[in-house]
Amino acid sequence: MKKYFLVILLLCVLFASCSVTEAPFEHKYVINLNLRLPMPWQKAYVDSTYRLDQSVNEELTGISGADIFVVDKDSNIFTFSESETTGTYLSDDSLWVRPNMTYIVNIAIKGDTISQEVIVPGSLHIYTPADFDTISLGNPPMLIWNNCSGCYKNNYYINAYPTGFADSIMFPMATSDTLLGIFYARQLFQETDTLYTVSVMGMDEHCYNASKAWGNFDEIDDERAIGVIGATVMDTIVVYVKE
Amino acid sequence: MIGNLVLSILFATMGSNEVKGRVYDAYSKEPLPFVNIIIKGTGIGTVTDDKGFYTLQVPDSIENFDIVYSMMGYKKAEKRIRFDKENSITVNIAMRMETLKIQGIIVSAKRERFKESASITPTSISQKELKLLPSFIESDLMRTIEMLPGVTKSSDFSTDISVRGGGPDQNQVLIDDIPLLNPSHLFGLVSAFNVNAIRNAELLASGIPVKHDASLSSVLDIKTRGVGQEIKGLTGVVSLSPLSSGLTIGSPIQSLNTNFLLTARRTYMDKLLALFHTDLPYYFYDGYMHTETRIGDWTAILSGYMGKDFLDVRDEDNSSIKIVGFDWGNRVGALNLFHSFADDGLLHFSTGWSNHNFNIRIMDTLFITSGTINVGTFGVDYSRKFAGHKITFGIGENYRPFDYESNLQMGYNYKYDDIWSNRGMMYIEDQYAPVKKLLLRGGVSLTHYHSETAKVNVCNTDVFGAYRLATKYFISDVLAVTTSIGNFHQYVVPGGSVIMGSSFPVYYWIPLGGQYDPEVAHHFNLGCEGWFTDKFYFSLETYYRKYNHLLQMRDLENIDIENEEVYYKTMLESGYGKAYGLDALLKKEMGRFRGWLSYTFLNTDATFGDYTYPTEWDRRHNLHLMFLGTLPKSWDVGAQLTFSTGNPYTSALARFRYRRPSLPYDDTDPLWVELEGKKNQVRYPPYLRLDISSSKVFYFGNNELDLKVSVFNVLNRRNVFFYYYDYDKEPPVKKPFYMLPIIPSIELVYRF
Repeated sequence: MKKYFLVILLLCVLFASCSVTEAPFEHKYVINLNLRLPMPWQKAYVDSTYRLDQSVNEELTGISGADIFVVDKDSNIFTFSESETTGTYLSDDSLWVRPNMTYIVNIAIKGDTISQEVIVPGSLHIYTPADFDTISLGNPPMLIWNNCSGCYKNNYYINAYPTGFADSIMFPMATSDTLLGIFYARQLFQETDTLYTVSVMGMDEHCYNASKAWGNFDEIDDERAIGVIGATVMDTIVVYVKE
Repeated sequence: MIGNLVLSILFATMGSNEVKGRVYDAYSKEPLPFVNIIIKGTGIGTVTDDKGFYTLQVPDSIENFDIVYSMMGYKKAEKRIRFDKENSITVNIAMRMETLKIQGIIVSAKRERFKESASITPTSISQKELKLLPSFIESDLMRTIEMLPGVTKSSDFSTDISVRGGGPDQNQVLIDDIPLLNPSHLFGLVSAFNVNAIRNAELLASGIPVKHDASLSSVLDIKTRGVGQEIKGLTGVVSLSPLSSGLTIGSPIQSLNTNFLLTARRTYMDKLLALFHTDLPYYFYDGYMHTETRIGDWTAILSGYMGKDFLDVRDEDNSSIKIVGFDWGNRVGALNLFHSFADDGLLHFSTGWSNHNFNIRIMDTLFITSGTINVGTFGVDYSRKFAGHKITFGIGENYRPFDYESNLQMGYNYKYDDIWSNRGMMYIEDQYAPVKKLLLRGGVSLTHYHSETAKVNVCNTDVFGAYRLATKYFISDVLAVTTSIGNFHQYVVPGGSVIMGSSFPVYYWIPLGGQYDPEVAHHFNLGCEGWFTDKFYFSLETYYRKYNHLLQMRDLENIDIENEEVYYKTMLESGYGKAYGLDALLKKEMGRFRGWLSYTFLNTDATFGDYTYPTEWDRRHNLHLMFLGTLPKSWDVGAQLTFSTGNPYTSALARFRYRRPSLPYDDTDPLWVELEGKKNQVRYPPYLRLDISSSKVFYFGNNELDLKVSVFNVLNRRNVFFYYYDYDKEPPVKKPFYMLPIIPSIELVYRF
């Protein structure tokens, strides 16, 4: 009987020895800097990864003291300054992002400098409907926009949400066409007789890759950082939706 | 050997009579393969084939004689034969089990098979074993197969299995020689195989015959059952379990030399709860049909399967609005014709059609996807024994049209409706014993493969060759050493819906074409098998599998979805892999206490890109103990224990605040997201599960009532399925999601 117990004990040790159940923590910088056209001010978020077993105050996340500057092909430098919110940086200049322009984005954090080239796609413009049109869900028009040059794979994301409630958006619609019968999607317009904001967005390759499904979290060509440094172009209209 | 050769030559030159027929189990009416049949007092004999058929050549000089039918575990049967004018007599024999315990375990690894097979004897599971072993809610073929050596799995929630490191898609499931796709109910929780409809299931993991060259890993060969011609009137089974109720009826039709068996089952909880005004929006049903007809020297087996699952969740306030509609199922029809020739040859013709279909509808028209996969199969083979050889040659044809459509309202619409592939093959295989102690089996095949995916502008035509070689050297009558090698191809791969190592009930099977060549693997096996005493069978086999070419679905974020053509051309990535290990089995086949102990060592990995990782199926050590015992007063007890290394998984390394770039404003609230480490670098805790059962047969005249009580996971062991982080607390709490807890069940089976 002792023999059997020994065999069982040996097997238990053998089986358990194959079980590695914990992985070590990995520190990386987390950067989100998308040059957004036609936004007047550009924003950057600089943060880091956190231990899963470490308590974090969300209000205090972010890394202060990063030096962010963007250089265009004419060697013009556009700098960012830290806002009141830790880890959030705002561009010092307004309306400097141009369509079809190439920029080098640089973020220096505690002696580490992360750089990446960004090419802003061409302009995007919604033709139909016009801003502040009234849309009848009984006879809805198509949403039509231009095919923007440089939008990676000519792919567009369309969002529709009650004006002022952008936080409620989770999953946009996507298409490679330049028109969409968005107003046929009755489920999107459950509240009628109200204003909806409709936006069409195109992206460069980095933002496009990061946007698919749950996203590629690592769209920065540097092992020390994850996140995305890229560019998006967008047009937005506000329409009144009625039954 | 020389005597048999002389007799063979004599039969070839002299006139002879023949006795032919079929041998059945007297209790189950199942055909018995590999029964020894011998003319008493002579060396003249034969064995039944895997369908229970036999043809015995008798020299003209012998007119009156006795035939002895023998098989381990069964009482010998004798039949007096007298040839008068006719030179062909049909004799069907029903054999009774020696132990008289008709509910006892059937011998599955038989010595006759040991002597006949050039590789490790495939372990088969009989209908009786399925009925006696502990159940998960009700008896399930796949839940028993997972206890065999070489078989691993990733969770209790799925009946998918991995054989020697291969994925579940690399196991070809055949039902009466026709492929069956995605055979599961209840989102994979139970298999589609109703044990009342199955005669035998055999898992081929090594020494796989060359006619099987459509899957990289294994072949699960399932045969439906019929009833014997000896039965008088209607026979049947009424079954009830917490999962389903079922009915099986069958009968011979003597005037037509035919018998039939129909089996059906359906979940009933939805109907039961409806009586209490409670809505359960799910049910499934399945049904089997099997008929056998003897016409002269021909036997025709017509069989079929149909199963369907339905999930229909509707809006509580407005039942006309469908929140989630999901149905999937299979339909299979098979026709097998056998013709036995006077020269001991057997012609086998098989044809059939298999269909798998699914429809998913969410929020009425917000998201709709549907798919239909068909497999048309046709095959003919002829086998004949002579002068120590058993030669089999044949052709096979496999036609697969596919039809997929996805509509996302206001978004992408995909339609792949002009995709098909065709696989035609010819093969030859010979089993030969050059000397008494050596058995060789070798075969080659040529496969012509053509696929057309017109909509995405890719097509492919190529010819692939396969080879198999198996040897068995008999050290003694009860001990043999085996080797086997071969190459394998797979022409379709699953395109998605594999979630956390468990396959969803629908697969987007993709025919390979264009830049995607078929997957390729090579198998190398070395083993031995035999008996310690009359009671203990053992097998030990080491294996090495080289996966030269593997394909897998890319992560969704790495697939370009701009149109169907780009989607097809970017959806798969190629890689390679390997698996090696050892399977050991010790089995006691007879006596009051029976069962098996199996151990599997497995090391399997795959390489995609430049990263090599253990696959989800890499349970390094696996121990299975299966026990069946007969207690006083006709109680049977069963237990099965599984103890294995935990499955590998991808662990979170850290967390960070994530902002979606596809939202119109990037100052919306970011979400906590985990940063994952390298794939499958850590493991879940070891897996342990003990299931027990007890059953008893109550006799009512010629009728029987089987009562079986099972307890799944009787230790209520909390095996981890996956970990997640609960962000309601700070810091987030790592929580396990456990696999199935203790689940008792009662099954009632009434046989008439």
